[in-house]
Amino acid sequence: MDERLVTRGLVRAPFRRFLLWLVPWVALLGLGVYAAYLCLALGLNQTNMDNRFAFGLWIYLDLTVIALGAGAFFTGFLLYVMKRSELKAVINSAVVIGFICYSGAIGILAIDVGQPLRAWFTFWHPNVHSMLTEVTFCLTCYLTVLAIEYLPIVLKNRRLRTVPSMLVFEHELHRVMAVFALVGSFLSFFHQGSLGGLYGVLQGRPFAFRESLAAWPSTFFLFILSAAAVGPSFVLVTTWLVSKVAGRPLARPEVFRLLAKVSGSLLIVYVMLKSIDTLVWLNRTAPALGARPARFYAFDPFGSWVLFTEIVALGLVPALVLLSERARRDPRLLVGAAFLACCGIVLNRFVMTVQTLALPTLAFDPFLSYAPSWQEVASFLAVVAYGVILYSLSYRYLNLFPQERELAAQEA
Amino acid sequence: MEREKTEGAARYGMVVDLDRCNGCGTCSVACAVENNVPPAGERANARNGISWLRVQRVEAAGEARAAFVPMLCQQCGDKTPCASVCPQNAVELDPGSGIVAQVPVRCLGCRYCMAACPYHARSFNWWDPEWPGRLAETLNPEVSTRTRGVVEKCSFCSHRLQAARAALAAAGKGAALAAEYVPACVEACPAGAISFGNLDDPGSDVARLAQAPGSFRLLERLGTGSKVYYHTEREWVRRLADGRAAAGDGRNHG
Amino acid sequence: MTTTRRDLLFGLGGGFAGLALTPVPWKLLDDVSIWTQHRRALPVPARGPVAWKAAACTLCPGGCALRVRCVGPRPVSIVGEPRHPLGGGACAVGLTLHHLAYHPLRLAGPARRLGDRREPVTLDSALATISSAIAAAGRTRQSVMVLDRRPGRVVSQAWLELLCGLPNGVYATVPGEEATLAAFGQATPLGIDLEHTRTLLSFGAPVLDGWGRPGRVLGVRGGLRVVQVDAWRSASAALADEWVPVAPGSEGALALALAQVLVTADPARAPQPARAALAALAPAQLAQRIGLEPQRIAALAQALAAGRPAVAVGGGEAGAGPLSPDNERAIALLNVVLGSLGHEGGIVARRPLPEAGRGGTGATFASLAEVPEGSVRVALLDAADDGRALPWPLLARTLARDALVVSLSPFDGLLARRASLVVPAPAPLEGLDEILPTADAALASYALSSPLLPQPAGALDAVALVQRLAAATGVAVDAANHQQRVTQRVAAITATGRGRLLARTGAGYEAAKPADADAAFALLAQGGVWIDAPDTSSLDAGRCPLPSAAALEAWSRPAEAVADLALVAFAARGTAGSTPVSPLLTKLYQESDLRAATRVAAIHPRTAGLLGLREGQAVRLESAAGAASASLRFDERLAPGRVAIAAGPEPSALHPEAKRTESGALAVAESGHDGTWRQTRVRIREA
Repeated sequence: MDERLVTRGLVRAPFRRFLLWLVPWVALLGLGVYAAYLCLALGLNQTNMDNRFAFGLWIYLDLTVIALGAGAFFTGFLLYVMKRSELKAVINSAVVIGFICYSGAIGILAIDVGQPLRAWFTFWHPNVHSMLTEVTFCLTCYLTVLAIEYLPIVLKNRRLRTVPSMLVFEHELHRVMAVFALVGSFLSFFHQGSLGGLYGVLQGRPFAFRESLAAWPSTFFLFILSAAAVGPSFVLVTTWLVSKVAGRPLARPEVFRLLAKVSGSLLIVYVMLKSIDTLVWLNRTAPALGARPARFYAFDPFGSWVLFTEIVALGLVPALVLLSERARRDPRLLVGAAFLACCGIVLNRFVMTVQTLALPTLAFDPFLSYAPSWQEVASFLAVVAYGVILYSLSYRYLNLFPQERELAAQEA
Repeated sequence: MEREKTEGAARYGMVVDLDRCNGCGTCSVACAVENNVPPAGERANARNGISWLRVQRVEAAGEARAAFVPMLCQQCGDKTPCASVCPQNAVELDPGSGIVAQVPVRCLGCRYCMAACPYHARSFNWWDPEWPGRLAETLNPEVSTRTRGVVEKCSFCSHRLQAARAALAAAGKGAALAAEYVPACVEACPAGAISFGNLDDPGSDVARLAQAPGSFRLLERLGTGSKVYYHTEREWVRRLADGRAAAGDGRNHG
Repeated sequence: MTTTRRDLLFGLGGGFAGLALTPVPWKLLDDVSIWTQHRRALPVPARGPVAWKAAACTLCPGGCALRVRCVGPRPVSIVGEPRHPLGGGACAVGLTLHHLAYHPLRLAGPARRLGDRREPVTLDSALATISSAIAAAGRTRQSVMVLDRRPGRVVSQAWLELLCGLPNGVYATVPGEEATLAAFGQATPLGIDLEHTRTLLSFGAPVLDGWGRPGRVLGVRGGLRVVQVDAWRSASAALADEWVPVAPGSEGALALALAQVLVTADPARAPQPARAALAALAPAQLAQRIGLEPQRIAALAQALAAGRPAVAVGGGEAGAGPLSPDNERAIALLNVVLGSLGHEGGIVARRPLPEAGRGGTGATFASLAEVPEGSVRVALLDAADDGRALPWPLLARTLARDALVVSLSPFDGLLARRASLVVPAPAPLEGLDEILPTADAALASYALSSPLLPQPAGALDAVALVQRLAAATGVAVDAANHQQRVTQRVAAITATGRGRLLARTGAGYEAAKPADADAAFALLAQGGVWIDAPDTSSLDAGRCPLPSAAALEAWSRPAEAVADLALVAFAARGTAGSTPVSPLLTKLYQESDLRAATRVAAIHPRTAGLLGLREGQAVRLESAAGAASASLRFDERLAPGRVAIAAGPEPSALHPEAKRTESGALAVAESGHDGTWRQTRVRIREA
């Protein structure tokens, strides 16, 4: 029914089946929008956050999706600046995922603040010392960049291409795409870092606080590195997932292997630097603030196993697997290791956001626990649903994977 | 954020005598009355209610005795954890008085300052404030009410400082930065456990008490430069409140 | 000329760019920031001239002097008078006194109960109902009872005048903090010379947490060693120098055990009847009943003897209620044995305040527990509330089947809800009130609290009500109104020529010599205080309080094992009575862990384990008198076999708009034969 919208030469599921696929996601989106409406209308008491857990599920997931969405900027950087042309196969998908991640994060942030109508105050009365100011500016700028990068993909749609002005516009954009990719990398570098800096500057929280290099705490650099490391892995995992759901190959194995190699190299560097940073933090930084590091891991279930899992099981191990050429040839090991690397970053963001707030600061503080309310979970699932819907529409009507057509021809 | 020493500036501080505090909570309620803090709705609890000043019970497991530590904004010095992190400058350290002021009309409710504060001094308006019946008629006109979705905290009753400065100016004493005044909690404490004044005035009680043996600040090692001191001569109270015994303090009053 | 898409795009783009040069977007931004400051209509308090006025708190017997800051006509904040000669400061309850007149539970005017609702009635109709019920009582030989929880006021005198003119008038009171001192049976009131006491042994009295004149206790705390005997770790126990945990209801037994140790060491300490009674008690049996080792008791007794002057006090607790008369007599006996009666640092005589009014005979004076069951046809519950709990079963026990219960409280509290008729009196700060000496006072004193707020049309003060009732029932009472009676009393006080009158000034208190009674009244009305001279008369040494034989026999027997849990009730003074607290007290009861609210029940983890209950679980407490919902909390300091739950403040005071459910100790308290509810047994099960 909608064949005229689908890119020429690509096979897509029947329209009705596509609609059926969308139905549960739309329902989930509806539920989440209702949850978000409750939070906006009735106030943030609809969540389980409180004065001690001022940041909850939303901030944690925001940091996580932004880290995972870093695949967008880093793949662009590798393609346009490092000239790794194999990545043309997945750059569109990466950009769409990045756009979803960032727009979703900003959507969640809009509900997370107590006074969303005052969101523009950060631009009007910015505090140059605050990491969050930097994050706000960079995120909004980068979302604009992503929108600009997304636009040509949309404009290449079969129907839209028939409009001459759109074609011209898309062509012009394409010529300057490298500039946008560079700007995007620059912005992304900063806000990935500032998100790490958000916690690294908290001198009141010895668990999160790190010493600074120049103006920035070490978590600034570690977050950038970890995001860059895990971005390609996430692109890999999502491409694999989409090809599984779609039932056809979407990119050549060399693309996956390149992504894995890049990810693995960055990940191993990250693991080394993170280990050094952890040692410095445990032995020097935290004790200088009067904290006893043993106390950080003295509360169930956040024992020291968390630290080892994050750095070794979900850091070193996948890094080594991704670096091994033999392992890269085995698709299961490849995807598995990439997935574990993503999990490592998910855990790292969790530790930095949730565990920081759970730990006591005063001598008579208890260790706190927090479980998100259904409104919080539903709002976030709405973002996931929005992402799936947007991605499904993009996959169906846009040429997200340039290699798909030839791979399909090869199979035939 | 460096602060040049302003001419004639005061540095208001407080010393809380933990040996006198009996946990009656009058300070907490007096603060709420003075500053138009709304009463809790049904779903509020100790973690999401609004208390600018909260009295915390500290006790050792298995022991009968308990001590009480009133917790409020410690009014940190130059290295305030909260002022540097607010994205829209809604927290200001006033150089003339040393008071860390919260600007609720600029606060966007991002709660970054709350994550930053190690003293848990800040409360968020999780609900719309409501005063049952005609209770809103008893509100204090000198303090503005806050809307939902913003952060609030102790201001050392800075509206009383403004009034004191205005009184000095009206009396022809010029524009003085250091005026004598008393916050609501200090005034209300039936045990007289809280002293307040200008820490930079060597003749003031509070300056003397702050330096007395047995006086300490919470989380001193963080270097926040806080201006609220606590005082106790009982080792066990010091250990419960501060996590460590006084260094070299051989006294033990059990 | 055709308009192309390009033209349209250029037009739009140009329009947007041009808009940025107009004030429109900037005004919009400005407006948005203003809208965000008034999310819903926030109250903007009105400004006005600021004045500080004197008042006093009448929410509990403490009677703390207050300074009220008024903006125009509205009271806006309160501060306790720091330099008051009797002891300064005020508690959190007193600091929110000014909220009560505006409380949603405030009753607007007379009303009668129809099922769950209330229907407003005219004052005349209410008075007619009461007087016809009084007449019916006269015909059927049933009693007309006035329950006065703050005896000694001129209002109390007016009630007595009315009751003395009725055939079966009963003037009922409930024991208060003075119960131990009353147990001595002396002709004159007694007080405690706390300034010279060295050891204060409290049997469940919250001496460090709201007792007597709290400002005075704070002032003497430094020189006092406080030993707290309590069935649970109360606030006073946590602040005391020593906590002695005992089984609930065994306070008197411990007092006797201590007296026994002291008398055994030195028989001269006690008069002969006491010696005989003490000798008949078996120490081991007593110790078992109390729940303490005999060595601990002996050590405690020796510490008391060494720490003299030592005073032992009972008097009950606001939520747990009074101790039984036998317990109080035992504690009084201990004081005799400790030699504190009539000596410096001990229990001293204090002159009674001059009364105003004619007095009268013919009415029966009784404590509520002594009123015969089912004998009361008309019960008038005086508005004055001492802030201490009174469970409904204790009152209901005295009522006849068709009794008319009239509540005069200005608030819709626990008792008012059960009353058939409410005739509200003025709320705090709306009427003139008297501040009488506290139970611990060594010197008589007198002060006034002047009205700061106008009295609403529907309120009727108690003296005016007495006069209207007297007219309706044909009883002759003094024609003076409330203010006139108070002035007469002030005149009587100044006529004694004793003591000193202190006027409140900006700086503190100064001695004053008013020219006449009216000037004295004006002085007192503006926050002054009259303090009597010490009473140097000697006490009757021959009177020795002795618990009843039945009590002595019961204490000698070991305690029976009971399957259910013993209820330990508690409340801060001022929060458990008929007067609600300000909703702002959620700061203490809900928005912090400082005080336990009525919806929290504490038990020992072992008890919970035996019952199969978890911490935080929703549970139901059930007794023969009623049931209450609560959430469970573990407390290892509470001995197994007990459940501790607050008796106040009731949730509808803190959340007037919420659905009313029975909660707290008062929902399950059972009326004991001795006027206490300390024998209440409770079952807990999962809700």
